[in-house]
Amino acid sequence: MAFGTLKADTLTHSTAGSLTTDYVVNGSAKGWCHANQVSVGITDSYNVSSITDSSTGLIYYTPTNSMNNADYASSVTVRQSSTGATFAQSLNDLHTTSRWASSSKNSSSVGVDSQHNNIVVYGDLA
Amino acid sequence: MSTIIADNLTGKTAAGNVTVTSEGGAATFQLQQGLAKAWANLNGSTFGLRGNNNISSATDNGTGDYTITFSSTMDNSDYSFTIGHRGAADNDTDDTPSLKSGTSATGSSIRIICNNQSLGTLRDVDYACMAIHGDLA
Repeated sequence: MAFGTLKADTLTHSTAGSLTTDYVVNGSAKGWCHANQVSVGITDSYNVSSITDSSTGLIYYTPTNSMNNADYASSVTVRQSSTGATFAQSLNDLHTTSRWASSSKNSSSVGVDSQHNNIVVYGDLA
Repeated sequence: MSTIIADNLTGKTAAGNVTVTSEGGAATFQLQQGLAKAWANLNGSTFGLRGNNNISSATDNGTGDYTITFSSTMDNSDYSFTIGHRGAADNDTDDTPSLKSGTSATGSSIRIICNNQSLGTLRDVDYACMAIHGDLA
């Protein structure tokens, strides 16, 4: 017998109140990643098996466990460049159930690589 | 319907690993990894935290330049941070928040700036909302 499985619909804290467990399942991030697109690699992550440097500023993240559909929510942020220029990062419509995607551009709307790309994904796992 | 009444959830095999079954039932994920380890809703205009979890303080370093300090520190500086915002009174979408260059995030704090892409200057934003995902110490 595997240690130990609890099946419950509600979690109750002695002072902080109750939470139905659907908030735990649905409200938890299903993956996150801090990635470097200059020296391409994953700095740290959860539920990300690899990243792909698709083109300048465009990163594909491959989740270890895929999403149930492509209607998940994701949030992305990038770090300002060392020269002080600010990059803007947005989601990219090339995302699928098995690929998260983000784009980074400078103030002239030109794709740029950043050392610090961050993404968090919420939604349903398969 | 069943209810678990507890102040703490701790993994049996590994204290920091409680597994949750996915919505589709085909996968499991680690509860601790999916939880935001800190979040904040900051008013950059009148300056102050509207709401937060695991934030000990917010510091106004100047126009559009803020430091957020965690109550419980992160295990390393490699965590993922995401920021959302609402611009100044004109809701200017050109106000772009980002991690400030040259001041990499640390385990105890993160410094962000809000730069207006069109003006090329820092501006205070009405709402700077952020979430941190990664490993707590």
